[in-house]
Amino acid sequence: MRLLTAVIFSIFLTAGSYAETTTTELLDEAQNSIKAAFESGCPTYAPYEYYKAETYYRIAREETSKLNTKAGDAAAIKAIEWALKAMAKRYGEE
Amino acid sequence: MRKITAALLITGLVSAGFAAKEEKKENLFEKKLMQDIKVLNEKIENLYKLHVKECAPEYIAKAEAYLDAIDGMSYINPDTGQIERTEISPMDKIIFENKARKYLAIAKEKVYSDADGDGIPCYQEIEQGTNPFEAEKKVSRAETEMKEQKVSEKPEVKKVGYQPLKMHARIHFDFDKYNIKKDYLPYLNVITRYLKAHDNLKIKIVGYTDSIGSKEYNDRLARKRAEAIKKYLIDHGISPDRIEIIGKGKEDYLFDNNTPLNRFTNRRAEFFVMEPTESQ
Repeated sequence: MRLLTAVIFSIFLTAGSYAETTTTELLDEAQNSIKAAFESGCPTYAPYEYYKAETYYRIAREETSKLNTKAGDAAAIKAIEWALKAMAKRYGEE
Repeated sequence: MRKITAALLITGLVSAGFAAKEEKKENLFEKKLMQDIKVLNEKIENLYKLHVKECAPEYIAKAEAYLDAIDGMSYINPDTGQIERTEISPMDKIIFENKARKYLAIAKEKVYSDADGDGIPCYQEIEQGTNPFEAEKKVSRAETEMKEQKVSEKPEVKKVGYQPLKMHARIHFDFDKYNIKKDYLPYLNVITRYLKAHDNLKIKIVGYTDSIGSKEYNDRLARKRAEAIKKYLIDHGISPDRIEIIGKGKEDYLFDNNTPLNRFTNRRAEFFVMEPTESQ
């Protein structure tokens, strides 16, 4: 039994190490990016970019909760992109 | 055998008919949706002409994001590196369309709203180059007080023999640019006509910049802005002798330089129409 558990666990670990980028990872990253943008004052200094990121993040969560992970991934990636744009605008670009 | 063949044939025809009908229904929904998206995109385009990005950035961003989601989001898949397009369910399309409509309506309201209570709607304030979220009256009062002080000091100097009239105007520039924006040409034409009608008047143009960049660069940029306007006036028949230009650069800000809008307001050229003093 122990051997079986160990084998299953090792398979799980191996599969995990070769896995594709997961929706959860993307959602986490999107959330972190938006949090960083918010803390940098982007809602005031780059509102268009910031709120676009926030809306894509909401869409990502909604789609993921309905098991449409492809749309969730797409929206999460867009949220990350827009959060980065907001940060870029906040710190340098006009 | 014949009976079985006939039954299969009929069944096949009936199911094909149902499938076609189903497809037609689906297409109708998609068709209507595409039409709605087109209408909403046109509305967004029209709002952009009314400076919605400055007046209601939050709401227009939300509306655009939801519309993008309905239209099918394209993205680069991090694992394959290929561009992929995703679809959402029809129910979500309906929900997102409603949300897009809601945010678009709010954005439109904001464009026509008067947040600072000075009686001028947001989009007009942006066109004029004033801050729509801060009452211009307060600023202009402070500005006029400052100018009155300067004017009251100037007659003692009397170095040019001209004093400014009350008539003055200003135009604004994009970042690091000194070309005159199309929107301001009507103002310049009014000034040109006024100068042509009053031969004894001169005009002083003062160029300013925002706080970004070195002082030397901004001084040059401010002068180039004033020169661009001088050139325009000369091209429209005003004698160069009647035009005085100054590049002030990073001085006399109208607002602090913390937001893009404030910096845009500070990047300007001001005109002072000058009349000859009696002493000359």
